[in-house]
Amino acid sequence: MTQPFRLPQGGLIDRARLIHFTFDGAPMTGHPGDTLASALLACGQRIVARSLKYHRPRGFLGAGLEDPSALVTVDAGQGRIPNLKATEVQLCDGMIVTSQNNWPSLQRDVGALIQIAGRGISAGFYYKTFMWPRAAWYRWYERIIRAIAGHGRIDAGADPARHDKRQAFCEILVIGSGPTGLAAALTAAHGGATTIIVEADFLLGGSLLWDQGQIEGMPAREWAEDAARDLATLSNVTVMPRSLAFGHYDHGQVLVAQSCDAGGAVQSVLWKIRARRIILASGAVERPAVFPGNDRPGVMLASAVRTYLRRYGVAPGRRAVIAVSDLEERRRTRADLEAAGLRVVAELDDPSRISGTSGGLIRGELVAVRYRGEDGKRLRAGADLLCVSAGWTPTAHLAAQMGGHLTWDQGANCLLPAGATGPMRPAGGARGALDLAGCLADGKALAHRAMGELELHVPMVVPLAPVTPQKTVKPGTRGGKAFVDLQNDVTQADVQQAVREGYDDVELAKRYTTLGMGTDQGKTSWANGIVTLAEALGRPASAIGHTTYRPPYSPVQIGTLIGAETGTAMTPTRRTPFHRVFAAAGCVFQTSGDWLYARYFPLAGEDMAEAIRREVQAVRRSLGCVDMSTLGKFEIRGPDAARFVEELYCNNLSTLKPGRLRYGLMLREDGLVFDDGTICCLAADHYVLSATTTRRASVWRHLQMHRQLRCAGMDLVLTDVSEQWAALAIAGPEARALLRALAPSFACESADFPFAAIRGGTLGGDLPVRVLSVSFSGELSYELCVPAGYSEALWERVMTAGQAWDICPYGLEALDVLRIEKGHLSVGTEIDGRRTPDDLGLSGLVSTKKDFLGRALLARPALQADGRGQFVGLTPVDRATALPFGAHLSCEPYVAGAQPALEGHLTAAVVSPTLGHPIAIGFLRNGRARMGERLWAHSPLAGVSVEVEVGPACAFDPKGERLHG
Amino acid sequence: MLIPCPNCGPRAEEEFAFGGPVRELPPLDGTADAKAWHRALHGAGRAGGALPEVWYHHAGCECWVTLRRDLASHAFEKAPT
Ligand SMILES: [Zn+2]
Repeated sequence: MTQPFRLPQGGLIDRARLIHFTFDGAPMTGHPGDTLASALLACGQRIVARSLKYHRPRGFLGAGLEDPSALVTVDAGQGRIPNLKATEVQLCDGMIVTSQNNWPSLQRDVGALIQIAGRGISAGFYYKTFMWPRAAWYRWYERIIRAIAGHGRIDAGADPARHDKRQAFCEILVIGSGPTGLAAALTAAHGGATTIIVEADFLLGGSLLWDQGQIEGMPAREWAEDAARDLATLSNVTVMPRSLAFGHYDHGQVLVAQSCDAGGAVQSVLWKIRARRIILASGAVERPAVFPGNDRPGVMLASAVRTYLRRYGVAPGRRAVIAVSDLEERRRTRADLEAAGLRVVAELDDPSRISGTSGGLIRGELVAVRYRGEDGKRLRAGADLLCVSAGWTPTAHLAAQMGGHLTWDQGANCLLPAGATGPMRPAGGARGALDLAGCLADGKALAHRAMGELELHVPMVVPLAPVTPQKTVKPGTRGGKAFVDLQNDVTQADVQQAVREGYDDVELAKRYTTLGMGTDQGKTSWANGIVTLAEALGRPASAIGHTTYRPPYSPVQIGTLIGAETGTAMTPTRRTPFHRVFAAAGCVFQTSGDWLYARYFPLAGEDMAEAIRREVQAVRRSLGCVDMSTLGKFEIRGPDAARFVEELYCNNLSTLKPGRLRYGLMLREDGLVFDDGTICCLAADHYVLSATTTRRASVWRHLQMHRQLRCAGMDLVLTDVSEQWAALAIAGPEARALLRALAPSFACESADFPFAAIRGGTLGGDLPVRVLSVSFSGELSYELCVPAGYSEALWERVMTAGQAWDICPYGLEALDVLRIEKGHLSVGTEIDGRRTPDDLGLSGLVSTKKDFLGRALLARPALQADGRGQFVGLTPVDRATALPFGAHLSCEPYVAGAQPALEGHLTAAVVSPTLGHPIAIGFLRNGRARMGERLWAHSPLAGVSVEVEVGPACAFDPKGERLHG
Repeated sequence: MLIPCPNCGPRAEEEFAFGGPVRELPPLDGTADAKAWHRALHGAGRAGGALPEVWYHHAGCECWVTLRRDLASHAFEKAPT
């Protein structure tokens, strides 16, 4: 397709090369250097979207990220991305672009009938229309709203693009590369500061790329090219084009989304840049004017028109009306239009003289402008382009995001930022200095000041540029829709109505009308919003204030924010020392926290349930082995080691002798149970504590806190040895026989090596080992701990020697079944941060002879009161019906819709292979006094209610005789 | 935030775990009752201005460090410049 609106010459485009793309299926072309917007305009595509509420045709108001309307869906080979601003997308070959928010097509849109149908959607429409009946919300309203409102559709598939995150540091960060930013970056760079300059556009230069003007005797655009080249050669400068600074955070952190070249390793990088000083040179956005029909395709900001003409060599129309409030801007606009060969049919010094626009019958794009002449006469000019400007709004979002309040300046007629917000210094257009000389001076001055503050050179007192005064432009007149916010379809009448209905605060008016919401965040709309509010309220604009500015300044893809942390890369994957041999043994793994932990070891043709049953039976009848390496292991050595351990655990440890271990409970300061584990006493001054896998980091932090902040005077050393040991527990009636077969260097008969003891030495004369006689399964069991590097040697010996008893490796599932049969506790399920030792049936462990962390607050009346949930076991009365997971306990059978009084809940439920029927454990109010009572376990979710009988938490071998073999 | 670790220098917030305000807990010698512990644990007064807090530098020196921070501005008393 030809480019009928491409000018014969000019623009920063490579005319020698063509780029092909499609828009709604139609083939189109552009050139390198084009944005999607400039290419569409060159091809004569002036309507690109339908508006949010009224489905009015919309084109381009702006030429950069300030554009509120031209949202499209783009597929550039990396998935379909909705809601991109056509003005921001760098054109590339093969792009598939589709318009949004229209049905069945952009030209013939059904939703547009809404505006014909009547008064349409005014402020508070949703609140007023979709109110009752309540049921209709779910049945009808939500569907209707979702069908007609909103923008593009999200691609629900996985993001095929890759993203990354990086960090950077610098002394001076410059945001923006217009005259202010380039002057600031050059000054900082030549002063020797490490400097980063970020620019959202793919070219450096900002307004210099299209504005007229001379700098240092050369055209502004050439000066910008020189400056960019200069910066690129300096080793202390990093130049980052296509990088949007979108968030400003504490202590000089700025978040920057960088788009990368197609075909590169990643599509985007999220930079976290820390800077000691930040120069905000983000410039200013031109303010549109509010008049009836100001949203028609063809109505454009004057600066955007000039950008299309001069930067892209594109004529956005043929016959133009100029309505620009500032004299100099008006003069330049006319000069640029005429230089490009467009006809200027009318020139107005005040956009509020426009009384309306006329659109084409079929498409609605601009065909004429109606206005009042200087003598008040009503005039009409045939035109397909209307260049408007009501002044400029400084882009100070990033300063405001960190709480820097903006104030309305009467002379400048806009919101201005404070001089400094933390390390951020707004400069040039961002603080209201709008002329070229002022911007250059301001960038230079603020860079000098920043270097002075950082003591990079002698402090220099350099004057800042004055804030440029701007004329007041009154918002439009009655008759027809005069839009304040084009993205959200908020009209002047909506704002006035909000005030009439009492929503007169700026935050309330925003929410009631949706002014300034959405992806646009009011870039082009808030200044007019404030002026409109002020007029409706009869107050000065300075009394209106502004709403809260929050990141992101402009939309950032979710994929960019996530970076590489998706799927299995979300957290580091930790493998235990047995991973390789387990994998070779056919293990099925599951994630458990960071760990890939053995879940079960299926035989050929076996499903998970069968494997679990077999593994449990092997442990109960003969012999099994399980990985214990993920437990936290902490060494404490020194003369004060015993005292320190006594303070941390509620158990009485004075009777714990070297060579013995004890099950211990660690409480929080508030008296609730924090973690359980073993306390091994290797010598009077040497202890090893274990922590639950999931609590490893928090227990370590707790130990460190107690050590460093409260026991600083104690003579001891704390060491985390969790990763130094590989641990394999052998469990079952034949465990001692296997230990014997492994030829330990110490006696292992029951008299010599009783339960809850520790032995150190070797296996087979050469494998160093520490053996703990502890049991989680309730069977005779030994935990064999070897230095982590010997894990595979240990595994090989255990499996070889264990063959005699058909040793069966088991995983997390069988481990869980075994512990539920025994009523042993698990952190996270029973130890859930709300339990006292007594709730868990462990009050016997709590020492009354010493003080420890949590003792005093455990005595609080509520923790000692009658009626607390107590740990019990539950069995279905019919010994057959499986108990629903997570069921609640009640005294009556479940009746649908009823709210039975609850007596407790289940924490775990399994079918016990050992007992041959379902069992569960859980908490029951005063449970230990209710043995034998019958209750009901309800699960409305599962639609099941089962009659259960209360019993002890330990369902198997309640006297614990099997522990001793 | 950029947290000025006295051992490691200014480091990113992600390297730290927060431990709450500095608390003067009673000694573990059996003398303090629940009331005394409750006051020490939950009753830290907020006088306004900078509050002393503890941070655990898990990705650095593994020390619990005490720093004073203004809760309104997040400025640390020895804040990095
Ligand atoms: Zn540190």
